[in-house]
Amino acid sequence: MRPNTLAEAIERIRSGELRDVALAEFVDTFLSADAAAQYRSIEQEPEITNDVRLDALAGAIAEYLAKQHRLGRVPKWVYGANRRLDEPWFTTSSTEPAMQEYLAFSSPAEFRSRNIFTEERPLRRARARA
Amino acid sequence: MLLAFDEIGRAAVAAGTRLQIAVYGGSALMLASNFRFATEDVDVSRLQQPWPEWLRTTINKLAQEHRWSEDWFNDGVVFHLSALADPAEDHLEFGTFPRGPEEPPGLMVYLPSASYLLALKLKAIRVNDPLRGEQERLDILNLMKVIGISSAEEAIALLARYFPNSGAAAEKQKFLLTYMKKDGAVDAPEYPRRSD
Repeated sequence: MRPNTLAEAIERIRSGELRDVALAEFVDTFLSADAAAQYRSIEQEPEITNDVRLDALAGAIAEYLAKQHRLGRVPKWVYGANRRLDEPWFTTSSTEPAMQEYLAFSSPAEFRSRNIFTEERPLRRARARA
Repeated sequence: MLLAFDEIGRAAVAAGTRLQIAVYGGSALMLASNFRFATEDVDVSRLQQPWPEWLRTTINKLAQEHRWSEDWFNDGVVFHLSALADPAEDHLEFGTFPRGPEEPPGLMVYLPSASYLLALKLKAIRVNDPLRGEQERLDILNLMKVIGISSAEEAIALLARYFPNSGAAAEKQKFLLTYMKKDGAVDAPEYPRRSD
């Protein structure tokens, strides 16, 4: 069963579930919900973990999804200090400077403002409505 | 997933019909490759709308039994498919379900060819996604190895075969294929392998 909320997805990761699987399943939950349920799914702040990248990524995902889907509000917790990285994180296994430069340019503001540099349309899913 | 297909096949037989589907994306790789193991929803070809009652009942029953999401079996991927993919040449029979000679088949499952599946992944090119980018990168590398191509130019030519517009404006694909990390593919990737 997919996690119903982002907080639940983070809890599953803390319990040992793979990060990418738990968060991708949460995104599927989000995409299949109506606007009210979408907001409820990101409203509760996830627990802070020992993984600073995961904490920042959770904030980026919540803010990005809220704005992409025009929910009209963003939960305040996403702006917390723990939701921003001190060091840049490029979401690629490539160490090529050209790739990093590309990601620095392409990353959406909700990620870039947290020092996360990713593709221009992250969290895409292979579904028509995504 | 194979057990679920067995159930769908039995339900089709009980309803006096036969269902043919093609399975795409990560679920196709999970079914028939030796390099993808993570669980996925099942992305299938266009289904009759509305779904026949027997299919809806079976899919819901399987979702409840396995605690899967309600839309674990869906045809949302249809939006992304190529009109130029040949129904015969670009789709290979994976198997009939239920498996085994003692039961009549009710479900026939087809898979996209390695070339078509790679073209679909190249079109989306999600290799830097923060969630599944690394898996996508490895899928692309493994499929390129299966097909026997190694350069960005060859990959883009293949993309253009199925998606001419994407192939004609493939600067992003060329850049990402050139600069993404190239290692990580398995030694001898295989796809597709039949269910038997």
